[in-house]
Amino acid sequence: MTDKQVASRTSNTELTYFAQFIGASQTDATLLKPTELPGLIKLPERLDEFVEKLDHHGLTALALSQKRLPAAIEEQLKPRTALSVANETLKSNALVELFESFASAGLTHTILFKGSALAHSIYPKPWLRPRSDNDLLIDIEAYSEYEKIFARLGYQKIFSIEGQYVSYQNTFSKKLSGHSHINIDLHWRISNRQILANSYSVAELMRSGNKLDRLSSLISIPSAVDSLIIASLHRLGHHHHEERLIWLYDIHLLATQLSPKNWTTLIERCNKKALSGVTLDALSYCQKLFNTDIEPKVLQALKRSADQPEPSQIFLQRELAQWQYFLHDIKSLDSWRSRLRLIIENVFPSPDYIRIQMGTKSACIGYFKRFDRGLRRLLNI
Amino acid sequence: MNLDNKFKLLEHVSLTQVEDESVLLDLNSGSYYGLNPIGTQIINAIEKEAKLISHIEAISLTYSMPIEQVRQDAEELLEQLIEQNLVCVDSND
Repeated sequence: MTDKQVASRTSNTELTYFAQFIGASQTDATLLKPTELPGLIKLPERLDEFVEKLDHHGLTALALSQKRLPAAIEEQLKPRTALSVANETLKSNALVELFESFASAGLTHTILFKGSALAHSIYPKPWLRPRSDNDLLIDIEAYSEYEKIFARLGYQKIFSIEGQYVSYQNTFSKKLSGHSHINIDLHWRISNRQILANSYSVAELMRSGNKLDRLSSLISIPSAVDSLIIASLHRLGHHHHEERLIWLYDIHLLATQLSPKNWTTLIERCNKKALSGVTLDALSYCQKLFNTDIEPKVLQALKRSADQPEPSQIFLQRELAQWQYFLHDIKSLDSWRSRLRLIIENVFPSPDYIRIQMGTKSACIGYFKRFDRGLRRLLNI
Repeated sequence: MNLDNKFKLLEHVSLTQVEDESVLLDLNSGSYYGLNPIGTQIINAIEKEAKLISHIEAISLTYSMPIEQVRQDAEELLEQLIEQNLVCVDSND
């Protein structure tokens, strides 16, 4: 499958259709039954496909809670709520334990952001916002202190590609009671994309951030304005070939929380950070899908800023191939030395990593396989 | 099972209400149990450290069920909760 095909997999029709099951669309979901989407679902034979799509978009729990699903599907999915609630409780306890340990060690500059922060702040109940991991942003200088705490609490570091430029995050995982796991993505930059990596620092997010009192006053999260900008840059910067409704719904919910003063701050901040284009794209799409209430003057102001060239606007071209984004990553580094290093780290990751990634005992064969795969991607074979 | 006793949730048990139903989670084992609306009313009474017997009539009226039926259901539920080490008789009673 080519990158272009991946991008077109989630059509506008599908997004509009599934947006109706979380109650924020211009059309009432009860008016449109799942049988009415041509070629996608025919109840009852294609019930599983419908649920699969709902899951893909991260909407199942929300749709269930809003009682927007046909009765047959609701019955099928009901047992899931108990599982989600149980998992959420275990993971929330683990997260609080982690932040208590950070605080005891004096590591107070830690930001919980993205899905987990949003689940506990803008959703009525955290289990309504599915996510596979918890993202933390830290100061790189304190990384080894964090690593010690993870080890002490029984977390294991997940093997991944590492280097100075190739990745700005590591994952730590811990088995909880039953079959539950918690994954923590420890970031020292806000994005792995070079263009976006320095968009925010921990210090900046701490200054304007809030305490997550609903879970623990030891946990800090970004302000709603910053959360909205981060969600917008994450949607395009990290998932340029994928569109999931839950990411857009996050942005919709955040937008509904903003005061006129917050909107002014958002416009200024987007302008300063050269992120107006990606934020405008997300807000415009939310308005179309969820009828998000946004003053026209806000969109006009973002549009005016976005008319100036912004490096981040490369991500608005969602049809680009991976290597083209990579090329922009290289260009956006400020020295030839760092560019060369990024290329080397990508082409020749550590032998241990290459053996695991390519499923071979020989690092040489692994490098050959990786080269072959890269070439095929490049040529769209 | 004597419903005149007071019962209590054990410390390693988490109770979360989801609308009129609820989820009991054993934090040690990760096992979880869904409770229907009647089970939820019973467990809520336990959590409030109330004597169950005083709630049986209210539940029977709310759900238009014979008192005997509610009493029997409550006894069965309690037996299961005690067996699963989620609830115990409150010895301070």
